[in-house]
Amino acid sequence: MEFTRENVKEMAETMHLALSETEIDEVFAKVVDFSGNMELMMAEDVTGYEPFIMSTLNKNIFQTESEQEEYDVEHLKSTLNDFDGEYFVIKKVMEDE
Amino acid sequence: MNKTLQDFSKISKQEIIDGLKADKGNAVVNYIEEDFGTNLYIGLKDIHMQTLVPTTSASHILENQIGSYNSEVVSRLLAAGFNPVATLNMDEFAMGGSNKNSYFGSVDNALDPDNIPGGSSGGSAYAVAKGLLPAATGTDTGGSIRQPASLNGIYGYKPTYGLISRYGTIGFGSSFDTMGVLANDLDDAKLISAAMIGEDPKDNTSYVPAGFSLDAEAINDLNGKRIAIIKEFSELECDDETNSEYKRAIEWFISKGAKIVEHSIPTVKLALELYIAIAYAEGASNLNRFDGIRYGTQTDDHVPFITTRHLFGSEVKKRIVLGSLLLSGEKSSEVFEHAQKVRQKMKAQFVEVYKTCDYIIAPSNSMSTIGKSQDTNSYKFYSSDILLIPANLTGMPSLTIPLKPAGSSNPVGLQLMANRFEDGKLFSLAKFAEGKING
Repeated sequence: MEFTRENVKEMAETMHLALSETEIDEVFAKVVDFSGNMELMMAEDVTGYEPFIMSTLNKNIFQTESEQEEYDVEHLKSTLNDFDGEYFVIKKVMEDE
Repeated sequence: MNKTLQDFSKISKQEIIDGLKADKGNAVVNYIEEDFGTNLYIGLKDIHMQTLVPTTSASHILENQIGSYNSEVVSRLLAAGFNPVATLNMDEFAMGGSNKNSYFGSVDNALDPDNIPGGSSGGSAYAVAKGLLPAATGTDTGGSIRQPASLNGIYGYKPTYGLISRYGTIGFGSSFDTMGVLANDLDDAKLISAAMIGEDPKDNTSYVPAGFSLDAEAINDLNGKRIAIIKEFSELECDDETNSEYKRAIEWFISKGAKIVEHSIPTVKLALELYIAIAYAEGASNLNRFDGIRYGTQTDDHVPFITTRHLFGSEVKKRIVLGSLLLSGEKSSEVFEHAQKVRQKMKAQFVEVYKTCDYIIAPSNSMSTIGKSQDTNSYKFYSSDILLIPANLTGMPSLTIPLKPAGSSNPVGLQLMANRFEDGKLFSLAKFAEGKING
C-alpha cells in the first residue's frame, strides 16, 4: 500500500479537514513509518486464521465459535442502525447478497 | 491523595465541586451541579452521553452537544447510587496518550505539573490521583486507562471486551473500545466496575457469561501460581525507574511462591501496526457521523459536513486522513483482512500462554514520567504502546496497579493480565499484592 504526499493532501481536502501543509507533512511521515512496518505485518503467516471481519458479524468478535450465535444476514440487517462498525457489516452483507 | 469512596462520603457534593474549581490542573470540562442525593461520588470521562451537561469528547465539534439519552454506563452508575460530579478532560475523541490533544487544553500530571498525565483518560487520572475525586470512569482503546493510571500512580482497570456496554459512549475503535475505571482504591475500582458490568441488548457486542463475577477465589499465597513474562514486552526499551520497579515486582512475586515463566508471543511486535490498520480505520468510519446534521456543531448556512469538519483538532484530523487512506487504497481490503487474521493469531498465542500460566505481567508504560514538551503524537512515542495494545486486540482484561506508595514521584504501574472473563482473578491477585508490593 503506497501513498504519496499528494494522496494525503487529496484525502484531507475530500474530507474537508482543512489540514495545513505542516500537518499534511506530519501525516505523510506517519504513512511512511507505517508503510515500512506494515510489510512485516503483511509478511506474517496467517494460515489457518479467519479474519475478525467474519466473526464481527456475530454477536461479539471475541467469542469463541461455540459461544457465537448462528450467522444470519436478515438479523444483521435488522440491527444495522445499532451497530457502530456498519461500514464493514454493510460491505459483507452486500457481498453475501 | 489516595482518597477513597468512603473518605468522600463524609463531604457534600458542593464541597467536592468547590475543590475541583479551586484546582488549577484543568481536569474538568463541565460540572454536574444536580445532586442525586447519594454519597458515592464519581467523575465521568467526557465521552459517555448523558442528559445532564454537554458530552464533548473534548472536541470543538461537540462543544455544546447535550445528549438526548443516558449512555448505558451512566444509566447503570445512577441506578447503583453513584452521584456523578463532573465530566473530565481527555484527548479529543480518545485519540492520544498525553491529554494534550484536547480542545479544552492540556491537563497536568497529578504528581508533577510539568509532566503529562497520560491519556486519553488523563483528566480522570489527574482528578483521582490528586485526591479531588475518589474514582472516575475511563475508556481504553489502546491503553487509555492503564497508561494514565500508571503515570499518576493509581489503579486502572480495563475489563474484558463486552462486559460493559458501549451504548451511548462515543466510539473510536469499536472493536477495541472498553469502558473501565481509574481509582485510588482497589475495592472502589471493583465496586464501580461491578455496577457498570451487565449484558445490554442495545450493544450487540455486549456479552457477559452466565455466572460471571469480579469476586474470584481469594489468594493467600502464590505457591503453585505460574506468572508469565513475555519476551517481546521485555525487549522494549524502558527507563531506569520502570526497569528497577518491574524487576523488584518480579522478585516479590517469586518471594511469595510464584513461578515466573518466559514466553514468546511474536505477534506482539506487530501490535502498533495492527492498531493503526484496524483502529484508525474504525475511527475514521465512526467520526464520519459528526457531519453537522445529527451530531456536532451546526452552522447557519446548514451546509452539512463541509462547514464543520475543520472543527476537529489536529491529531483527530490526521487520524481521520490516515484511516480514510487505509480504507480507500487499492489493497485496503487485503490489508484490513490480513490485519484481522494476524489479530486472531495474536489472540490464539495469548490463549496458548494461559493454558499453562495463570497470569501475564508487564510494565504499564515504558516511561515513569513524560514531560509536556515531548512530542507525544509521533510514531516513536506510540511504539511503547505495544505493552498496552495487545489487551485491546485480544479483548482480554488488564489491571494496572501502582508499584509505589500513593503520591510517590516517578510512579510505575504494573499490568496484571489474564484470559478473557478472568477479570476476577486479576482483582484477587491485586488484592493479595495490595499494600505489600506497593507498601
